[in-house]
Amino acid sequence: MVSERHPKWITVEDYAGDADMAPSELVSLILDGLLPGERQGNRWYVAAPHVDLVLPQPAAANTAVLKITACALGSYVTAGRGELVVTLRADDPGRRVALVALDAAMGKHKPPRLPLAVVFNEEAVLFDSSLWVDLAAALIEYEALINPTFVGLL
Amino acid sequence: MYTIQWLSENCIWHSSHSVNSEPAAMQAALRLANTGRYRAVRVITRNGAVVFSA
Repeated sequence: MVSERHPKWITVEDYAGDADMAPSELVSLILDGLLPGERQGNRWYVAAPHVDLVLPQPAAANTAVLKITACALGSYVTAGRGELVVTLRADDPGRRVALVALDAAMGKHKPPRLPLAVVFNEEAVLFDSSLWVDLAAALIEYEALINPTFVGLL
Repeated sequence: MYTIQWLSENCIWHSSHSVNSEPAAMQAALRLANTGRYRAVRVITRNGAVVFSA
């Protein structure tokens, strides 16, 4: 049984408050299959992401850490109860290559291929598809910090 | 193709890497919105349609 305080699940009200959104928008994303979540009893919950981006030194984002809720068997990693820590470096070209590879692997017309080899800091990790979306989203979050492209003034 | 854009505290819109995966784009945008670092976050399609805004 999943309790309301289980860290895996976040109520849409809590999640929406942090993002300054209406809870109903999150429910729509869940129903559209764009956000992992489900209804439990009379409440809607968002599944906590498997991948967290942590900045040891928030003022200097040259290095960050991905904390991945996963099981690792050698270099093969799938979503699970353990924790895998991957260091991200701003000067690592593998980070952008990894994002492109993940995005290609998630293409609409491609069958899932398991696992996907991703190289961070010259070390290959084989990621199961259970982690692809969260991993890609976390990499985009890091890109936003270190490599923003100017679009225009408000 | 989806592009995530965010409005920084100094009222400048920025964008990041574009992706084909709509769930990845949406969840990345939600992550950015949840950081509290940005005034606004949105996801736009290749033709400029806004499909997400927070």
